[in-house]
Amino acid sequence: MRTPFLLAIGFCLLSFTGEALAASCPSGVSATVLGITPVSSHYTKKAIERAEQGIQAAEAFSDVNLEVASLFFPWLSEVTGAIAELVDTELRVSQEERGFRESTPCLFADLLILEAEMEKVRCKLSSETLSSSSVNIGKIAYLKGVLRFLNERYRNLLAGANDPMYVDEGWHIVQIFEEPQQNAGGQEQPDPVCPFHSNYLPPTALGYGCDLEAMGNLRSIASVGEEYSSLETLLARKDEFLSNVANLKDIIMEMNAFTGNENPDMSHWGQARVHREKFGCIDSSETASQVTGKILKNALFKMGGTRMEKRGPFSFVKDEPTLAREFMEMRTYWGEVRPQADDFKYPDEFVADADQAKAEKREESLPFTERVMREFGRIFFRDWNIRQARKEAAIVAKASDPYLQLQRELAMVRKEMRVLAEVASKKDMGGRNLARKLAFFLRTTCLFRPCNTQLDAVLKFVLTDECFPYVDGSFEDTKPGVPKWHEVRCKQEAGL
Amino acid sequence: MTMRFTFMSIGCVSLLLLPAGAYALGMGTLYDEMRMMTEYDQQDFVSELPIQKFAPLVLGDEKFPVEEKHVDLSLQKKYATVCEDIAQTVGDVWISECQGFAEQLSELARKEAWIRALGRELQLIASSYEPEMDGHTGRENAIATKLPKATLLWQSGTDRMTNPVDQVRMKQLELPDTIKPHVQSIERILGGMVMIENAGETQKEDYGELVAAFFRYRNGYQEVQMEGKSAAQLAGEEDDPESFAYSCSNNAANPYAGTDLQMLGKRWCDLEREMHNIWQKLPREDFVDLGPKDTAVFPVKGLGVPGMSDAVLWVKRDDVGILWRMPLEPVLPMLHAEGTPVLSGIYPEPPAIPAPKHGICSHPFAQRGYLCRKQFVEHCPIQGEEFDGDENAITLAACKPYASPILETASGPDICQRGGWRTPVDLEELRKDTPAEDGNALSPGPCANCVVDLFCRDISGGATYKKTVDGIIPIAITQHSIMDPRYIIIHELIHAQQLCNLPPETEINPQTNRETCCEKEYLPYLIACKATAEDGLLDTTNISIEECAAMLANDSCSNWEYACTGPPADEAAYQKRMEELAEALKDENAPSCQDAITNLDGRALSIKESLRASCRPGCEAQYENTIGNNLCYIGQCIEESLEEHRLIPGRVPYVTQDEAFPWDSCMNEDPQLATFVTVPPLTRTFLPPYRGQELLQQLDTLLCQMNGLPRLSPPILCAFSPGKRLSLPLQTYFSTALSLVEQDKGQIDDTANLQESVGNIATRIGSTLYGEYLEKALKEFSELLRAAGTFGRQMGETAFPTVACPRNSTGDCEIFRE
Repeated sequence: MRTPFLLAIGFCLLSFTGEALAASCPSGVSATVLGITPVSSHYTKKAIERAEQGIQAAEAFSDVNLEVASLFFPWLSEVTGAIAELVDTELRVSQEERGFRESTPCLFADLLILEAEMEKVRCKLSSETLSSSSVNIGKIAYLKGVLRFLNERYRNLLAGANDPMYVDEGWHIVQIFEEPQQNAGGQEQPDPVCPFHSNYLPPTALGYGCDLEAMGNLRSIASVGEEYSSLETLLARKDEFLSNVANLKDIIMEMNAFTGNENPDMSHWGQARVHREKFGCIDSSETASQVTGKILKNALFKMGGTRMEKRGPFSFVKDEPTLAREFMEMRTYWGEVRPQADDFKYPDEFVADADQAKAEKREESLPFTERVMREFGRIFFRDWNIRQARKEAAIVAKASDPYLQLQRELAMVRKEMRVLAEVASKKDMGGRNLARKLAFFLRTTCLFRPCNTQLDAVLKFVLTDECFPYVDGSFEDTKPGVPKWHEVRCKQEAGL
Repeated sequence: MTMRFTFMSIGCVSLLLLPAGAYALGMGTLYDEMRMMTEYDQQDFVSELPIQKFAPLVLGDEKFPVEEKHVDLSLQKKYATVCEDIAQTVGDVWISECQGFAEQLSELARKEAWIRALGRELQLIASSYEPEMDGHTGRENAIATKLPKATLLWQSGTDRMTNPVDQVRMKQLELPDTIKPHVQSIERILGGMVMIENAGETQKEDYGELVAAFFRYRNGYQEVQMEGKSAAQLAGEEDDPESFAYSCSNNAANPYAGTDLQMLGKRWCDLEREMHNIWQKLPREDFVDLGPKDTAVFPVKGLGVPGMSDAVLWVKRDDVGILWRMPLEPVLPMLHAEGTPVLSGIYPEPPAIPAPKHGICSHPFAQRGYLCRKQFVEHCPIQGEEFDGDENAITLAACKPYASPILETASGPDICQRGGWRTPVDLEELRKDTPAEDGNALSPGPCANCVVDLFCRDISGGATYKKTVDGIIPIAITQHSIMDPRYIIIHELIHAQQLCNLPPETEINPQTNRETCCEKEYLPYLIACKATAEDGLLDTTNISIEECAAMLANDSCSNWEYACTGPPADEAAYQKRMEELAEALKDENAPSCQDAITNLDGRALSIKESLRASCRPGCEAQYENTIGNNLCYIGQCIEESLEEHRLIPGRVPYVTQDEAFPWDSCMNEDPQLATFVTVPPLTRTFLPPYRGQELLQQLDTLLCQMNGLPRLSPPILCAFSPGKRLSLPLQTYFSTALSLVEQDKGQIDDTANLQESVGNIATRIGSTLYGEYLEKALKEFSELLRAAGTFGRQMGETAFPTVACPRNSTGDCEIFRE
């Protein structure tokens, strides 16, 4: 009963993909998509190439007659199982749903290519199995391997397209349809491969991202084509605006020269945007020189700076809901990986070697019940950490964000205040300087007259720093009725 | 009857027992007099003699013949006695009628007494305002010494030199003994004016005539004699003052004859003759050194007149008179004259209506006032057109003014800058100026802006040349001029004073404008003419100092005819006067030019010294210690402080003009502090839009998008869609069910995440709104602060020079620029 049911599911799947059983594989949309060069040449393309090689290898298997052994090979269940694996709710539904909102057209295109390839494999699988009179176990096995391989790559691409720290762990695993590769050059560990490509990111002013150049080849996909044309219109408007205000740069610079203001950074004014690309893994040695030369950006990448974009495709202002949700997830993840208390730690979780040795010693003498209790404890506290992390995350922004925003707004005021404070309080700047020079100048004309005493007093006052406490706040420290500290001190120091 | 007589005699005795001289004035001290008068006013049962004489003349008729004695009786309400007395004369009378008549009599007497009391009160009020010059009443005042002292104390040196009045000099002489008999006869005559009568059974005295005589001759008998005489008559008599004809007749032209004011015009010829005798006996030889305007005073001589304790006789060089020191009693209207009552209300003929501006002293009442007394008016020589003043102004005397009164100064009042008020400090320095051209041997020094170089030259008239760049003013003195070199020096030195504080090369008198020329020439000539008058050169003529100055200024401003005085009415007379002046100014003993320069006249030395500045540090100023000189010093100090003592010469903070002097110093360019600092416009702030509904919709959209669904309403529908699993069931039911639960859990997690993040989202959106709102304001605020900082910083960068700025900068300014 189960098998026909599954067969029915299989047919439903066929219909679910919306394609009629075709003679050649693949057909329809998938065929056109497969003709497109993938955006990511280091990952998707290679994945496709490997898959094609697998398919070739599978094709190479000649027909094997139906043997007795093959009677016991559950080939249909294998096939259906393989196809059923594709129905990965978690991948297809949840993550793809999220991906719909957050993927750029380039990523979408690459994912579509992978899917098309998977469709090709599936089509071959179905045509091989369903239309062939004989069962080619090797071919089925190979194709299943390719399908699984592609699925894994799809998952990794979805997870790591925006994150240069995400390493595809399974890339270097030798698949069933592949020859073991010779290690070249005596490398112990092959280089890690990351599906990250800057073209998957939303377009930036600096040149990265899924812009017109990146999308150029993908226009045959309908939705990407629409995206392309609207982006083209936007850029045309932008260029028109910039050409209209081309004179502004000189005027701005002249006016700033008049008024003594600093010029903003206008090195990129009017420059044509050049498309740039970065892909692969980013490690600490590479980041400093390749990307920006600043360590700050490295941290940004590590914390997922490219994983979340500031403005989603649906908002011009900051996409607060998405960002807040991502933040929540991140904090929850931190809660999850928070180290347990010492009593609950496994020996290898200790950082210091001495502690580790002690723990291992203790571990040997740990009774079984305690181990079980420890497990329960770990689970309990892990849950507790997660919950706590969530609660913390809920209030972090509330507690710190207003202050941080305000601090940013006040930055320019602080800068000017600092200048003003210096001018007001320093002896050789501003009013004090003028008073000092003027008093001295007047003295040269005063000469033996009573104004001399007054000018002396003025000079004494002006040259005493204690008489100008206005910027360090000490003049606020007063009680009513008590003479102000700085007045008394000022008189003392100045000798007035 | 006897009872009445006794009673009356007792009454009279009691009356007689009143303090002696109850009706006599002037007995005892002033207090006693005042007390008598007040009591007198209060008494209403004794009438004065004039009333006593007057009442019967008015009221008496055949029916009721009134005698003088009845007046007092009526006042005392003794009507019965009065009626009895009358009855004795005319027979029986009705008592009531007689009583009524007696009441009328007493009423009349009382009213007249009231009028007289009023007159006396008015006199007392007037007297109280006219005490002696030093404020103490009843005290002698030595005017001869006090007046010159006062003028000396107050005058400054420049006043003395510029005041066009040759000061009235006063000499005090002793009265000769030869006048004694005349004094005695005056006393006798005056004593005889007291009317004493016994009518009415009390002795009463009437001092009316005596008081009138004192009032009449208080200004001198000659003034009385000059009344009514025409100008020609006066001129004729003036020509020969020695044979001043004495003429008087008792009825001589009393304009008030027949009226009750007749005492005001009455003359007592015997009194006048005696005064004339005294005047003739004055020692004329002592008047020789006096100028025509000078006067001699003699000490006052007390007169022993009964009833007046402070009557004196005063004698001056040109007049004699009698004076009552404290005039308590006025000249009351005459009530009776020679047996006839004088009824009041009779005025003399109204005077002719005078021409406009000519009338105030033609009115009989006004004539008697102080302002209309005879004035000694300066001779107005240039009889030009009529003085044309303000129509509503009261003009008592006027001469046409000479030169324009406007004095132009470069800056400020230039107090005491014309004329000399200082005494020379360093005579050695002053002697460096020789009669030859000294040129650069002289220098102004730090204490002056100029120095004068006097030298002799053979030109007509003195000349002052332009100040050189070294500050030397060359002055040429000559002997060929209308004035001798001493006065030419004074005249030219005043020109030097005009030039001293002006820039070098300034033209003194370009003679382009009539008023300017007159103004520039008049004052120097005035001072020079004053000097000649002081030296007595003008004594031989009656040309006043102002006239002298005006005529000579006409001469100097030769571009115009009669430049400073205007054309005279009679050109020939003008010429004659000019010749007279020239004649007067000639002096055979005049020093030569060299002498005049070498031995400078004291006044010229003072003027030369006054060229120096008063208030420069290290400079001495010496002057005679009078109030005027002190004020000159203080005033010049203040002026110099305001004009010269400043940080940058030529730039005065007290006036609104810029660059007051053309030789201004090397000032730096305007640093244009903070010219381009822009203060940001304070634009209106705005509240960023808060679209709450939109935000919530965004949230709902996200919720649904997370689960792959479009926004549904209500959003809870997006939370879970069972179709996902159910349409794709797994292999086993168990795994499908488990997966269903897990799917829900997964979605709940996401939703729960979002929901828990709502607080954060809201906070962030809120702070963004706040930040947006603040950003504009903070930006403007920071620009404001930046402007303030720029101001402060640039202010502190002001550069001050280390070298004092020069006053006259003719060279380059590089050493003063930093």
